[in-house]
Amino acid sequence: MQVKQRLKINVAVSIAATAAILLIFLIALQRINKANNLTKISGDIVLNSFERITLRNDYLQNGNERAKKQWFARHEAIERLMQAALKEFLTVEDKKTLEEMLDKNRSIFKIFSAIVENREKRKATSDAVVLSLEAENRLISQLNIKVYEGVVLGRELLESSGKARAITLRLTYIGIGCLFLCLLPALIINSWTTSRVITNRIDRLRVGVSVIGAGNLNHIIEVKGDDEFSALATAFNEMTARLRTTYQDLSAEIEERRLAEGALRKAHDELELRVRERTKELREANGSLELRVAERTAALKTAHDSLLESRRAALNMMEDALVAGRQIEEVNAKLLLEIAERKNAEEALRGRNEELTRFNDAMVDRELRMIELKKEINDLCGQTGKQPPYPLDFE
Amino acid sequence: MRRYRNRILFAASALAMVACLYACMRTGPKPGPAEKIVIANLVPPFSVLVDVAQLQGYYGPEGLSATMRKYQYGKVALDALLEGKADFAAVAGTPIMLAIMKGEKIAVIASIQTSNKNCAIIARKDEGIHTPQDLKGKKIAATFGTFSEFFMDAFLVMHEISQKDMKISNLKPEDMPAALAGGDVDAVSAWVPVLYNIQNKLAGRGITFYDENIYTQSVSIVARQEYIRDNPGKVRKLLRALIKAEQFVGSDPEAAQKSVAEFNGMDPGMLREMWSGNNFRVALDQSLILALEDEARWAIDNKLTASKKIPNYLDHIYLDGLYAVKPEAVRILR
Repeated sequence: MQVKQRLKINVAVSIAATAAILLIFLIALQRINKANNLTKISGDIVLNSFERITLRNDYLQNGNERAKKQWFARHEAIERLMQAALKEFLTVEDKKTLEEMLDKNRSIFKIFSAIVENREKRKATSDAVVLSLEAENRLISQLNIKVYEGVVLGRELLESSGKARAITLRLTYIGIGCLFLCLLPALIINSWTTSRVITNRIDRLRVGVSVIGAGNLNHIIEVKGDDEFSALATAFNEMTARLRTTYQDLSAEIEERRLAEGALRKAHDELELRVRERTKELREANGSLELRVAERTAALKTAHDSLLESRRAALNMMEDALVAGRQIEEVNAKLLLEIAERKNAEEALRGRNEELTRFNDAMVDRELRMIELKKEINDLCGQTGKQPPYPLDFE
Repeated sequence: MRRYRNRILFAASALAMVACLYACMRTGPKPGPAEKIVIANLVPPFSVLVDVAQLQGYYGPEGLSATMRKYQYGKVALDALLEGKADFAAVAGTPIMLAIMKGEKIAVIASIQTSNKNCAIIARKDEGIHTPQDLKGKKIAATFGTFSEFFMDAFLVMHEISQKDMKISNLKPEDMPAALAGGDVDAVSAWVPVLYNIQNKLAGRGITFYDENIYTQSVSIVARQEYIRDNPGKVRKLLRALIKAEQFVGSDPEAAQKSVAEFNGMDPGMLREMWSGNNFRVALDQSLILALEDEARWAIDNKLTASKKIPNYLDHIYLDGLYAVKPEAVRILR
């Protein structure tokens, strides 16, 4: 069985035990409440019985009408309580006790009624009075016995309800005890076996892992059962197998690499030899080349010197040219300044000219209008026969 | 793990040993030779528990070998006890009360049953008796010194009939049927099963007057005080056997009735009828003293005894025996 299942069983058993204990407690509570109720009813019956005795004594001593009425009222209350108790008490013994109590209660009623009747119809003659008193004494004796027996039965009923409560408590304890006796061993055994299984399996795994860790990849951990640990052992074995394969592959690869490295080293050595030879050749070639370079360097130095000379001459010429250029630039700048001044004077002149033109145009328009007006005036004067005032000679 | 296993095994062994020791300690005393007792017993239904204890074999396991001597009624059974013919006797209240008032050194060890229906007045209708008041001036018989006499007196008083107005005579129970049938008396105060025999003999001519409220009959087991003092162990054993009989009667009344009827050669139907009015309980309670005092007052009033004083009946009740066996059944304060 799997460890998970074992643990689940433990949890299920614990839950079941808790539920059962709760159930037992609930039932016990309900039964104790019932027993308490029965105790209350029994207590009420006994209490009412004692109150009834007090009322009876009151009536017998004082012949009190009120006490008589109260006695009958109390009697009815007791009868009702007993009838109610008959429904509440369920055991055969209790019902029998209650039936007996009801019988006693009815006898008490009859005897007390007989006492009341005997008193009420007591005759005046001495013989009758003696007989009546004797009857009353006899009735009172019987009443005492019945009342006593009734109270004893009431006490039995009280004891019975107490017993019911005690039995309920005992049953509760026994129930819980039995539950523990049944479930606790199951829990202990299950926990113990689970613990043993876990410890053994872990120990076996630890040993196996140590062996494998030490490098023995051929070690196989023993697989027992069908729990999580057997699955773990199987997984370990599979992992070891894979490691073994990987290890073998790696070994092969390393060997290959080792061989390749050897070949490489050989090639390197060969290359080294060739390089050395080549270097020698190159060194020799370099010697002749250096000689030629020296020759060429000397030729170049000569050419360089002559070049430097011609350059220096060119530079002198360029300096002269630059001085001449600078003078030209100064002349040019003066010319440009002058040109700008002249341009500004021309601009001012042009503005003045345009202004004069506009004035002239306005004056000409005014003059022409004036001439037209004068002509109109002259025409009008001519039409009126007057002399034209304005001479228009220019026409 | 092995260490824990050993511890668990050790604890289990220790528990088993304690359990065995406890079981051994709980076993009762080893039975010795049976002690002999003689019981003056009554015809049913007056001492049913004594019969049942014998029939169910409850005396033997208690270490008693009981011999039964059957008597028709308690007064003669008590006489047998006083004459030394029996160690214990089953007797009703009236003979006990009278014996104590005479100064007999007896003691009640337990009452074993009570009843309100065991006694009645049976009269002849053909003599004009139809109501209790019709008894006035008639001839009535009772067994003197027994509860038959007490019941008759109580019945007459309750119906306002003075003894002066009656012709009262003493008759043994076995003589009652013939006396009533023959017209020697008009009515008798009788108990069961004599009452049923008379009813059968008179057939339709008889009328029976019951009154459950005027008398509670109690049957008790008595022994001489000297005997009790010398044999308290026997008393306890007898009480234990009677308590077992009480439990059997309570749990299986039909089986008890059947065996008692067979043992006494009675009609089971008749026994069943008588049985219903009885309450079988081994007890010592205050009502026993109340009843004895009531009867003692009656005896003094009717000059049935030389003593003018009600004795202290508590001195004639042996409480220790029942208290040792069933303390909750003792309801008398010392």
